[in-house]
Amino acid sequence: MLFANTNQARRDGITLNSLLFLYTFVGLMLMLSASEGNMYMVIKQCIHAALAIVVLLLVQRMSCEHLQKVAMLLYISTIILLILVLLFGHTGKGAQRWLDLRYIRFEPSEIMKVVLPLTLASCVQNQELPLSPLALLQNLLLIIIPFVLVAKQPDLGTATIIFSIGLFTLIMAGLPFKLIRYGITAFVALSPVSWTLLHDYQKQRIITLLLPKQDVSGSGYHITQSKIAIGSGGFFGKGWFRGTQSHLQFLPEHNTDFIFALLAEEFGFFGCCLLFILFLWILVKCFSYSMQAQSHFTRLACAGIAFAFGICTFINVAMVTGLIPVVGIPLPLVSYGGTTMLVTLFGFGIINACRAHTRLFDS
Amino acid sequence: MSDSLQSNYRAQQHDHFKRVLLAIAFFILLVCVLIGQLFRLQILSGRVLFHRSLDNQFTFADLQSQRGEILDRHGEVLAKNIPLFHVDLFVESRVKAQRALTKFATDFGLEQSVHQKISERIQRARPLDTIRVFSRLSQQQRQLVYEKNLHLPPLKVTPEFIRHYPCGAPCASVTGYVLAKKQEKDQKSDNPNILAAYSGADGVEKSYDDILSGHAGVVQLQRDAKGKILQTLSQLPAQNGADITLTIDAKLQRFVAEKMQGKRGAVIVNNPSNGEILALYSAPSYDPNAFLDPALSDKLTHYLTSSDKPLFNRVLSGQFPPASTVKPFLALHALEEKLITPSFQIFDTGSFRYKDTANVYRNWNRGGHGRVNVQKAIIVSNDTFFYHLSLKLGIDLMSTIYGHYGFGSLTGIDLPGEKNGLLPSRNWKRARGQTWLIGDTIITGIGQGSLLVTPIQMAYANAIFAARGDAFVPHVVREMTYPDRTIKTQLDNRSRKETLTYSYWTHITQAMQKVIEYGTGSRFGRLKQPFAAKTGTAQLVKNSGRTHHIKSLSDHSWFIGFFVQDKPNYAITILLENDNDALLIAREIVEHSTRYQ
Repeated sequence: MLFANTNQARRDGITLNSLLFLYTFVGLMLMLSASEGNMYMVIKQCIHAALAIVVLLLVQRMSCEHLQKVAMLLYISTIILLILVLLFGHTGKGAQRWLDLRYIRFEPSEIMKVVLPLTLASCVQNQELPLSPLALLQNLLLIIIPFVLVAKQPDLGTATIIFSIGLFTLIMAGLPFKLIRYGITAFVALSPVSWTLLHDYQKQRIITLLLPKQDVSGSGYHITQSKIAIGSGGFFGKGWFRGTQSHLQFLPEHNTDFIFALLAEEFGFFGCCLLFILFLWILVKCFSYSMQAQSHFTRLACAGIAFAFGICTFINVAMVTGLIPVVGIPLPLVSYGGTTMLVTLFGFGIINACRAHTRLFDS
Repeated sequence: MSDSLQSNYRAQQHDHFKRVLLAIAFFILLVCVLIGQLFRLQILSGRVLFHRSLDNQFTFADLQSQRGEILDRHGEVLAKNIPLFHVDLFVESRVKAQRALTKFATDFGLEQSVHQKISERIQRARPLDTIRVFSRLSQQQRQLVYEKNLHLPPLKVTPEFIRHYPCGAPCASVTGYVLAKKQEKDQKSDNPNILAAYSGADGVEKSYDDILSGHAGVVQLQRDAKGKILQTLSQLPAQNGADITLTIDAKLQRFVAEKMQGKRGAVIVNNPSNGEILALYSAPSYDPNAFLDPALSDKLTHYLTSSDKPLFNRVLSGQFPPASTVKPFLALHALEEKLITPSFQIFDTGSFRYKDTANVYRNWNRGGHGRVNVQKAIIVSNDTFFYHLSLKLGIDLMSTIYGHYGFGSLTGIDLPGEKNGLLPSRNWKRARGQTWLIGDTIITGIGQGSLLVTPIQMAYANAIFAARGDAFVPHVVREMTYPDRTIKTQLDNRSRKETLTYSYWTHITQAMQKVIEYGTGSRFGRLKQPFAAKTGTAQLVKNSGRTHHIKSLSDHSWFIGFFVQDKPNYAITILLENDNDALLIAREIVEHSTRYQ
């Protein structure tokens, strides 16, 4: 069986794993520059990566039936963790939350990004397609519970991402296009109402996005400095370890949420495009796995988890380049942080497991 | 059944296929959006943002130059830079800073209220700010600071060079003073300067400000986001200012100041042969240090509010009628123009009536001086003679003569704030919509009427007369010594006035020598060397009609004099406001000078 697998793998060309390892390696190289000689940090991130790779290798060996069964269990335990965060995670709420966001964003929400599509896939597997209204409602509930819990933290950014991941998985499960169109219309119509429901700091962030020059040293400072870092990189960048914006601390959070700005500053437009090519390659590979998959579970799990990776990356880069408000979303596999690294590669482990399932089916 | 399941499965797979393709398209679109934004930032505005990243990290700071010293003609220092020491507190963390402050307060003995105030400032301070804890340490305080280790971080002793005037008030009329330049507010970084930046506000400090201040240097620094200086990249060193040696004699200046104690007026001692000014004093004077030392703020308030206006330089800016001092000038040139002869005389009955008009012009001596020729007219300062003379001269020639002596125009002295005075003429009066009257001519002939001169103009005129028409622009600066030891001497600014002749000069100066022997200046007394002089009394309001003599309405008194020599080297001009003792002060100053020479 192991042999069969390797033969099959040859047909896939460059494996997903090698792309992922390359991506992770690029991340570590950036971390080396971002750490500014803080080797402790680099070593820690290497350990995170090593652990995550081990998890990936372990998970990809699991059978899909098994994953399907543990999905609900994982979901429930993550929900419990989220509730615990709400009860005991009180300490980290600073006035400037997003400055040291790293230490107050609670990790269970990260886990949910992968567990939610997995759970939805597992549920849909047992449901008739197209989904009956009751099944739809049941699935929506699965999405709304974590959304509300994360939004209450309050971390509207991550909550919205979780919601979008869930929604995407449902769309992939065959949600009628008509319903989607209605949903979008309703959302647009309701957005002025939702403005009034936002916290002041959330409104401030949106205003800051639209008018970053209004206060350079306040909340717009991050965006302004990040834009300077990115723009000053030019086409080829200033060179590895030569980013002045990040090395002289003008760029805030340059080893976590804003690490993309460091990439843009040191490797320029060219380096960014290379990263995007790698990123799209990974995504397309995962989506093609979803296309070829033979069961609802494998289709949805592949697509959902790939979407989670894709949307987080997009939101992060869009935030760093000033396209959207500053929300505390790290760049998967690149930003400093154990949980994100672990969860992301865990997700790709599931995708690999699904791929193995498809191959088994084919043979 | 199996078929329908199969087809259902196919349909689902097809639908899923479509949706995945849409998802891929969606992500490609998103990446295109990102690339578009990156293109905008990195390619389109790359240059601008690159320069902004440079602005972020590089900063420029001025390197202050050392201001040049001011010395008197014998090398005595009149203005210099002295070091002062302050205690500063560097706020790295507020807790540390407060602890250091408490230690400082107990060991140094800081007042409770001051302690409280600084403590509040620390609470408001941003990290890396520097707060001044104590300014201007005395010698003992400095010792105490070092003994108790109060100079160690976060505290530190900061030296600062400030301007100091050892001569003080006596020399202020010449040296002037400086004011501290306002520091730019956004100086976030540590200012590497320990030299205060000044701009000259008056006197030599102002007129020679560029030469004294030199050029500030520039240093380019690299800093991080917190404003911490990482390295010095390049620097253009500051060029120190030049030292300036004056023609002023500080000892004489001090003597003059002592004699002018409690008076209001102006004293100028100058050298008619080269325009050098040996003493220039406006009384009352001020201490130029008061502008720099907070401890002297009371003095400063007095200067700004006193009705005596100590900051007003009477020598340059005070304008007074020259009165009888102009008589020798007019007499000489009337002789030169052959309008009168040395033997021409009038009979003075004490008043003068023009033709048959009702206007009567009185001699200062109501009884009259009887027969008066030109010499006697100068010795007794006879007004009637000059009423006659003025009619002979006419206003146009009189204006020319006054203009020849520099009235009505700036002397060009190298000090700021000089006034023009007022030289009346037909044109001047016409410009004011009035016609020149014969009465105007008559009183202009005794230096009254609209005629106004500054004491420096009077001194200039006195020097021109003493040097028989040789005119030298009066100046207080002799030479400038640049930091590279090159010396620049003031140019020989002689301007010979060829327009008028001086063949009767001895005739007039003989009379002027008799002025102090038995004339109007007899209180002055004789001197060993021949000394020519003329007094003047500028009438303001007539006190004669009043029952009480009001001091503030008293006449001003003038005294001009010089040693009669082939190459005259000493002339003196004094004006006293509301006081008629100008000649007594002149006597003391001249005597003091002769004793020294």
